[in-house]
Amino acid sequence: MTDFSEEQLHRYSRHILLEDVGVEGQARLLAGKVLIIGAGGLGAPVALYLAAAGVGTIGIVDNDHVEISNLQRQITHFTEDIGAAKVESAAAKMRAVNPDVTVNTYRQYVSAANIRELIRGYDFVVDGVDNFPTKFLINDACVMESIPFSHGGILRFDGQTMSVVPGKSACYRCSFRKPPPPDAVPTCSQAGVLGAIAGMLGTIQAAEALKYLTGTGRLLTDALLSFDAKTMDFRKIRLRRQENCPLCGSSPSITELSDMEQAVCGLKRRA
Amino acid sequence: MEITRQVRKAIIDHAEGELPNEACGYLAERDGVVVGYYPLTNLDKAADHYSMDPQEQFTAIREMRAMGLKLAGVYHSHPATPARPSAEDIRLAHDPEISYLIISLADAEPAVKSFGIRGGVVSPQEITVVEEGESMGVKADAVKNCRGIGCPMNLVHAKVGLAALRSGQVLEVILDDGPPVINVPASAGREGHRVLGQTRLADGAWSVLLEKC
Repeated sequence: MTDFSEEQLHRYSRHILLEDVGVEGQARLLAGKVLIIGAGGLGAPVALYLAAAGVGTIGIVDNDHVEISNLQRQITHFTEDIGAAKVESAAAKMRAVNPDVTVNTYRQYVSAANIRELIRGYDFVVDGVDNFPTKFLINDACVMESIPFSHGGILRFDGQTMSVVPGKSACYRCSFRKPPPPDAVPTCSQAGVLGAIAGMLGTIQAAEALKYLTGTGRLLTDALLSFDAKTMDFRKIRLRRQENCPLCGSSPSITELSDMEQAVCGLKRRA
Repeated sequence: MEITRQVRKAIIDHAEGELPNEACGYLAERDGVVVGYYPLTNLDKAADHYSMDPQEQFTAIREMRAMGLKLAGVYHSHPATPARPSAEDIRLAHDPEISYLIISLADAEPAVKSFGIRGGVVSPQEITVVEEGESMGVKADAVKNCRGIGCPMNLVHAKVGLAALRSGQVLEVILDDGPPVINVPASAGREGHRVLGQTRLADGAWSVLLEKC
């Protein structure tokens, strides 16, 4: 059992008071390790909430630097951070909100070559990337490494998310076999995105990570939650593991990772 | 009758606080040991007799039930006479099942005596003073002193104390009067822990025994 300092008891009192979290749950959070892939719209609120919650070790991966167009939704980055590495900008805010947290920064793109190495050793992974090939890559790597993760995506006024516990629940490929053709779906930079929905979706992902670490409640597994912020309609679609899933089915055809073609418009590769 | 040191001290304090008038109240027991007391208003405000406030009596009984305690007896003080039932005390003693405890402040050292009264016949009862832990047949495995700590941090400390214990072990939490002693045992109970009892301490704080679920 972690020995809490008086300051920690105050800092985490609202968690400790929760019957389902309590002292034990907070100790699990402090011992927990979460990797956030992408320090953008989704990664920013996830990073702040997990740091605030006292998740002991948080890794954050991104190769980009902060641009002024990010600031409308990527709330870890401030105007003065323009030009700085996103992972460093995010890490500074995480450390400022909670010095208990160890932040590991990875200023790089994830790729088939490095992702398994990156996620190994983490308890939970959060997908906060902005392109389909990388979302599939994260799914495939997490299934292969048996690391639970939260998928998330936002565009315009819409968001969608699902949690995957490899071997137990439907993976992303059980429902979506392969990335849409390049340019079939516009990226955020083309289509635009309402800033606040990054927070709406990112905080759902953060809550899933905290639930997983503390063993609380039921994860958003075998389901896809989507919302339309224009009407505030939320929909939860039931999903099931597919026997013939090319990744987690009984006779998988995907047995190693590969980098897929990026959307043409996404000239710059994103982590 | 067995009574905890804390309750015995507390009712003497109550009696002294009401001087020159008589003080009165209820005693509550668990497993045959008086572990709690409920000071009641003496409506007569007199030095030689008392009447309890029926509304307060009702509330006290309800609180006892809620905490799994039973009415053990009635106590009252004799500011200037010895600790034995007066003719009026005997006449008004309607319940043969409970004890009638009298605190005499006639001498420098207060005297506390207990009696059973059945059909006008008074029989003295021996009083055994027990320590808090033994009073409930349990010795607390750990203590959290939350004097001066408000809500909700007192509950945080209590939960930290409970987390360090195994199921079935007992934590004694010292809580301030008012919201702390109302909220903390209730919250611990909601989380499945057993509230074994609570006693008023001499300084006005409360000792609450929680058995970890």
